[in-house]
Formats: sequence, C-alpha cells, structure tokens
Amino acid sequence: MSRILILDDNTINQIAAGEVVERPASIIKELVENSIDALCTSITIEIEDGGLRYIRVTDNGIGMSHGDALKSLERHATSKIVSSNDLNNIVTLGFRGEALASIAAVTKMEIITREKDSISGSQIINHGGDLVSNKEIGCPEGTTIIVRDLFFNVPARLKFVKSFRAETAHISRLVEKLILGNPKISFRYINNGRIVYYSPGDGQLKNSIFSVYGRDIIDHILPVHPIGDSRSISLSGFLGKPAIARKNRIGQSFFVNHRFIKSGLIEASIESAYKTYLTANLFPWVILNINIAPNKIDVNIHPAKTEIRFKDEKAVSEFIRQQIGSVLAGTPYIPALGKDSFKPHIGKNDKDQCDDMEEGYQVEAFSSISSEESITDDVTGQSADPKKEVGKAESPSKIFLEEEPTKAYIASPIEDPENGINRAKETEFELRDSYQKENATSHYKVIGRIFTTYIIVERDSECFLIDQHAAHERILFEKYKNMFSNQAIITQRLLPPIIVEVTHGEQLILNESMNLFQSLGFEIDSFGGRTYAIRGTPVVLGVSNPKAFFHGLLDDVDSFTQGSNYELMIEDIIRMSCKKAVKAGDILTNAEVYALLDALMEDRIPLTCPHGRPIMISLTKTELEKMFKRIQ
Amino acid sequence: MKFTCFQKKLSDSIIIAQKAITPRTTLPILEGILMTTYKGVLKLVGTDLNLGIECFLEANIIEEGAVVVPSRIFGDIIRKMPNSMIEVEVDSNYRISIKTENSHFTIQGVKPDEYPELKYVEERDPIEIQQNLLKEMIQNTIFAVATDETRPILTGALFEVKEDNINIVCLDGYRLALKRGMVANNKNISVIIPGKTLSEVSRIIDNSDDKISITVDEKHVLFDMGYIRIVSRLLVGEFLNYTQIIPQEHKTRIRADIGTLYDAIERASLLAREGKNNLIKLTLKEDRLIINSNSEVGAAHEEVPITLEGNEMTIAFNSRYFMDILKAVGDEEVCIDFTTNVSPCVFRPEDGDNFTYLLLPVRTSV
Repeated sequence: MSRILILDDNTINQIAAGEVVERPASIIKELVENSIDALCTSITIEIEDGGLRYIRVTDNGIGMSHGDALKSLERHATSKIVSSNDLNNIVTLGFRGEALASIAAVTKMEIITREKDSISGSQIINHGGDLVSNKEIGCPEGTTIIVRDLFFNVPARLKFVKSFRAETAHISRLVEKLILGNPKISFRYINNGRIVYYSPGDGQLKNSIFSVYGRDIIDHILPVHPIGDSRSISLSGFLGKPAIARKNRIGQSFFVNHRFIKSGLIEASIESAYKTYLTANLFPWVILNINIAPNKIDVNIHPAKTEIRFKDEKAVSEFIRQQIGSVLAGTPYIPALGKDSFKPHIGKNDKDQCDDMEEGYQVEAFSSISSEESITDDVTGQSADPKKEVGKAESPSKIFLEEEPTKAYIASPIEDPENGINRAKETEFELRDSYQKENATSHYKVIGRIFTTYIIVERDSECFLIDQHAAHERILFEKYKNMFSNQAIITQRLLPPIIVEVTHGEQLILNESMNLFQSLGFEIDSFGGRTYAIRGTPVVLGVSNPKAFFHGLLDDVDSFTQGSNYELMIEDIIRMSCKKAVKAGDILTNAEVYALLDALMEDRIPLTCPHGRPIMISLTKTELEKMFKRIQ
Repeated sequence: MKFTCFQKKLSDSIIIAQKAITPRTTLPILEGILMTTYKGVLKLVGTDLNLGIECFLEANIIEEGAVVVPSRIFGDIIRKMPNSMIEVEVDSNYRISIKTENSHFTIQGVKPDEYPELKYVEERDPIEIQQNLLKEMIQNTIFAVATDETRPILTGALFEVKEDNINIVCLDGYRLALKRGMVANNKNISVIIPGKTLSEVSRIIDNSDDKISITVDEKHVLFDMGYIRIVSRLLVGEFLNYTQIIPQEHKTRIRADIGTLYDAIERASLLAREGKNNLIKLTLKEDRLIINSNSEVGAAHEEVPITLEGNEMTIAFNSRYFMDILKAVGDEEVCIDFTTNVSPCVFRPEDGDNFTYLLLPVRTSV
C-alpha cells in the first residue's frame, strides 16, 4: 500500500499560508508590497475588526490584465523574477510568487484590477482557493484587493489569532513602518471607518515621520545625510536625540532598499554608536534607510522577508556605526524640561499613536557657545538687539526643519544672504560645524546657582540648568581621553610572560589580527599549539591588566572600532581618573563657573556625562509661558 | 567567665588579633574575636579562615569560660578606656559587661562553640630567625607581590630555606624581588606564603634580635613568637623557577649612588605622574645617567653621575616600579645591569648577593 501521497494544491497552499499568513498584518504586508512593486503613488489600507473580517488594499499602480489576475492566484506565479539568476539581484519587494495564492487559500478574496490601457477591468472572487466568480467590470486603474473572513476555512488557526485590538495594533505598527519606508507613496490608513494615518507621499521622509509620530518629534531628530561610498552602501534617515530614547526598540525602524527589516546587526551597530549618549536600558529612536547594492544582500531567508543577510556584515556594521557616530558627535544634545515633569496630570492620554512621543522632552536644536565672543560682551549685548539675536539663533533651525534634509540643508545657508556673510569663510568646515558656530556666537549669561549644584544660564529665549559635577566630569573625561589618544603606545614587558590558551576559532582571529594586537601595544608569541605567551601589555594611563585587555580585544577584534569592548574598557579606566571633578554641593566662585562653562561650550564635547546622564536641561521662554498659561 | 586585666595589654592584643579579621565577611561569627581563659592567661583569636592569629596575655582570671566578642566595637571600647584595670564579665547568655572605675558597658557576645578552630601545626623542627631580619626581608620584597589574581600563585611569596640561606622571592610579572638572609639552620624548605600573611607578620613582629620560629607542614605555616602565634594556609602550586629568569650576563653595568638616583627619579616622576603614564626614559652615557620625562605639563631633564661599563643605551621604565626597588635597596651602593632596552635590568649589591631585583622595561612606540 502506498503511504506517501502527493498533496493537492489546496493543501499545499494552506501549508504555505502558515508561513506567509501568520496574522492579518502579514496579509497587509504582502498586499502593500505588491502595490509598491506595481509602482503606485498612493495606497489605501482599510481594515475592520483588526483585519479579521475585512481588509482592503487599493493602489493606483499598473494593474493586471485579466489573464494575469487569474494566474496571480496560482502558486509560484510572479511577474517579479523570471529565472533563478534574478534571485541575486532582487529589486522588488516580492519575488516568491506565493503570497496571493497563500492568502487566497485561507480567506475570501476579491481582486478588482485594471491596467492603464485597458478599457475595462476584471473582478475575481475566490473563496479558500476556489474560484467563485470571474467577470469583466468597470473600475479605476490600479488594483484593489479585498480580503474577508480570514481563516474561515481553517478554524484551528483562527484560535491563535489574538483579539481585535491586538491585531489592530499589529497592523498599525506595520503601516507605520510602511509609511516611513515609502515617503514617495501617499498612504491612507483607515480603521473601522476612521482615518488613522495619512501621509502626503511627497518624497520627504520628514513628512512621513510627521504623519506617524506627530509634530513634537520633528524637533528631536537629526538628519542622516546620504553619503556615497565605494562599498556601494549609503545611509539616510533620521536619528532621535537621546531625549526621546525609549525603554524598548519600538522606535527603531530599519529599511534596506525600502524593505522593512528586523536586524540584530543593525540594532547593535546603532546602539553602540549611541552608547555614551544614553543611560542603561534606553534604546535610541532611529529611522534608517540603508541603500545597498542588491547583490550584497540575501532576502530569500524566510517567506516573510523581514530577515536579511548581508554578504559583508562586518563592513555594514562598521559603516553604520561610523556614520551614526559622526552625526551624533557633530551635534550636542540638551534634554529639555519635560512638560510632564512639571505638570504630570495635565497631558491627557488619548489612545493616539503619537502618545508616547508627547511624553518625551522638548529638545531645542542647541549649539555651542564659542570662546570667540567674550563674556563681557554679552552683558551689554544681551539687551542691545534681542530680536536680532533670536532671529540669528533660530535661522539655522528653520533651515533644519523646513528644507529637504539632504542637499537643501547644505545649500541654503550659502544662499541665505543674511547668514551667508558669516558662513562664507567657514566653508572648509563641515556644515554642521558652521551650524554650531553660528549659534556659538550667541550670548549667554550666568544667572546664578541653585542648591550649590546647578548653574542657571540664560541665552536668548532659553535657559539652561547645568549640573556642575556632570559637566566637569565630562570635561575631564574628554581631556584624559585626548591625553591617552595623543600618548605614544606604551608596552610594559612582562616576566614571566602570561600564557593564555585560546580556542581554535580565537586562534584564527588572533593570527589574522596579530598586527592589530601589536599596534595597540601587545607583544604576543606563539607558545605551541593553541597557547600564546603575552610578553608585553599595553599600559593605559598607568593601568595595565594584561589578561583582561587581551580577552577584551580578542572578543571583539572583529568589530574593533570606536565603541568596542576594548575601547570601553579603556574608557572605564579613563573614567576612573575623573575623580577630581567638582562635586554637587561644592561651592564655586563666579570665575570658576565661567571657566567651567567656557570649557563646556567648546566644540565636540558631548552633553552627557561619561556615565550617560545629561549635563544640562533646557527650558525655553515659550515653555515657561505655556506653564504660566500666558500662551496656549 | 570573668577576668581583670590592664587596659593597655588587652587593647594591644586585640589590635593584633584584629589583623586576621576581614572587614567583609558573609559569616558573622568571623567578625568576632574568640576570647578564652586558661590558668592565668587570656587567649584572643581572630581569623578569616586563611589566616589565624592567637594572642596570649596575662590576666587575673576569676572565673573560666569562653565567648566570641564583636571585634570592632569591643576593640573600640577597650581602646578608649583609661589605662587602668578593666573587669570583663560574661554571663550565661553571653552578655559581656566591661567595667572600669567610672565606666560600665554591656554588649552582646556570641556562643563560642561555632567559632572555627585554628589549624594545629605541630612544632617539629622549626626554623629560627631573628625577628628584625625577617621583618627587613619581608619589607624589602613584599612590594613586588602580585595584587591581581591573574596568576594566583604570584599573590604569594616564595619562602625558601636552603641549608643556611633563607630567601624570600616576590614576583608580579613586572619585577622580581629577591632577598637573602643567613641563618644557621641546615634545612631545606620551599613554600609559598600568601602575601597578606607575610605583610601582617612583618607588622606584628618586633625590631629586635628575638627569635621567631617558623614551622611548615604541607598546607600551613606557623609563626610562633611565644605569646603570639600566626597560622596561615600556604598557597599550593609551583612557584616560578626564578633563578632561570635572572639574567646572568649583561652588556652594560652602571654604578650609582642610590640616594642621588632616587631623588632624581622622584623629581622626574612628578611630571611623569601628571601624564598618567609614569614613564621615565633613561639614557646611559659614559659618565652620567640622563633621566627624561614629559607630559603636557612640561618636561624634566635630570642628570646623575654614574660609572658605566659596556655599551651606552636608552631604556624606559615605569618610574614607580623603579623607585620601589631603589627604596628597598636602601642606602647601599648598587650595580644595575642592562642587556637590551627590552630585556630586564638587574639590581645587585656592589658586594655579595644579599639581594637581587629585576625590573622589566617598557617600550614606547616612538
């Protein structure tokens, strides 16, 4: 008796559906990706009851001919690739040719589609994989797919679907990612008849962010300018300032060639770039687009395609870390007084998506105050022409907010006649630099100190509270760090040598990177087999700990760069030498306060203490006025 | 239990017994001192299970017994008492009452039954050595004992008796300190004593010619001064064969006056310290030694007259390590032998061989 049977197509489709159609959100993902691949410029997503009862995705894309529409429901039917060679060069979001067939197998599906040049369109109705009706109808160009009664024929799966609310939340989160990943497409997302999101689709990521996260967050993000690279990889997007960091990774969205993906590699790279800016257990808010040559990645890992494999993970990771690190280093941060920290009960929590964002802080684009302008000047200058000062200080942030974040940002300061004068001579600086310098010339005035710990500084229409201890600690940290990096590498020789045994894997790494070890001050010889003799060890500011240094370096020699364990270990040592910092409660004279501020305002000093706590908090005049209800 | 005793005697003994007590322990009874009476003698014991110290002192015993007293508070109370007769009485609930003419304290003690017993080391065939010699030998070597646990065996000092020679050797990976002493003993012993034990011993013993007897078995060492007995675990393992790593040959030998050299290096290290690297560079010339150090604060240049045999050379050191050795050498004239600027240099006495110090240089990339 033959026990092995070939499954019929319907069963196969239902099995495939298990992978592709996990929940309503997966259906929407597949449908919207089809729409995007169909080159549409607008997509409407409508759901009812968490998408379990009704999902509609309408696009204005190229549509399908009648024959294609019928074929699309067959398994492995796709227009996106032709041969297996194309798998190495996938530029569309879909390619497997499974999605529609799988979805159709477990739902009641209706396809309405018309090609641009056709006079009429087609309507195909399919229930659980069986064709119910197939006719010619009149309809607008593009494709509409309506999916009803998910899992109506697979009651077992239905049990695993969560509540309407949970499924809606999933879908909303997905739609957010789709909006953020496709700024050129106008999205309309309707839940139970109400418009939840609308994005203009004007190609500006910032506007997409606005659509999803609301106004507040726009002030708290930094653009990442796309930078071409020989490795044919480039980044664009926005980085959240530390003030809007979250307790989880929900604020992180990554896109590779506009495909939303999840990637531990990218998360780790970004978080290591943020390391010194955030306290423990906070995760940065980031929207990052990675454009990479299609042949450098493999998306054909899982049917859901949210996983991706990079051909050269090390290079990608390092590139991200460096780029983000440089954006962050170029912009100091000051958390502002959260409105909620003053008025915890006033902000009402609607169940809106941007809720969490409003709980965040106001961060003003801030700046350094350079030593170019002397302090004595400000006392008089302060009242002289406040309007001009304010305008001057604000103009860069206007550019920042309104212009297209890429080229316009670079171009406009030069075009702007008012600012152009100052800036002309600074063209050799990076743009961000000049942005700081611009603000840097603003005046500040020390109002006084409270609780013998916090220095209050007024500048333009803003006031800063500065923690004297954290500020001094950061200054010393930077100083010692500089001192260390300017010092020659010092190797303390050891006798007897320390004998270490490494695993085979480590041995390969060690042999490969012996030069790196040597350049950092290690003297290492092979001692037979998998043992090595450490004969010399680096000395970091007088401290050496050969075994810990060695293993620290060995563990992350792969990703050795700023932010690696080894680097962190060194920073730990440096941090310990910051004990000389003035403490909270130490009484400072005015001269000391000014000296501290001057040092702090120097370029490139991150505005968090080495342990990640903020150095200063800002409170704007507007915020004060809001608190006192002078303005609404 | 009840006894009377002079405040000074009791206080001194407590301080000695306390040396074996660690400030941090998870076993509360180890925070206490075991106090036991014998005929006319009071015994105090402190231990951290690795090191144990017993102190005996004369007291007028009125009623025999034993109790564990909380070390710190009991010690503080006794220390602050006037130097007169103190009466200590413990009731059946181990409540301790401390009385002088005008003071009266009561504190709670603990049942002595659970106090760990010190390892008994049978005193067979002990080594006898003058206390002042042992003290000097320990003090001049202990600085080179390793403080980190990378190689646990190096946290101990090698204590070696070869016929009439006693050697103490410490080695921390950056330098080696070896001190020799002569004692008529005619024995052969080689054990590794924890650095902490030795440094406590050196603090407890006197600067006198009185003998201290040292007994070792496989796992323990006993230092016996009669009224004080110190018992310590030994470190088990193989100490490095230190004779192998001391170079016998050299290419350059200098002689210098220790005091002058020490002062010059100490001054130069003021700047080295500011740069946080303790780095000094020595240039050996025909008739002088040039010491350079610099940091962002400034630069130092020192010259010390020397006599040199062999090649001129330049070599760099951690100034702190260098000064540790010079300090241990004392006022004696010293010879320093060099081979290359990455191999160890050796400090030897002008005559004889009562010490050898070895120091590894540092190498800088520029």
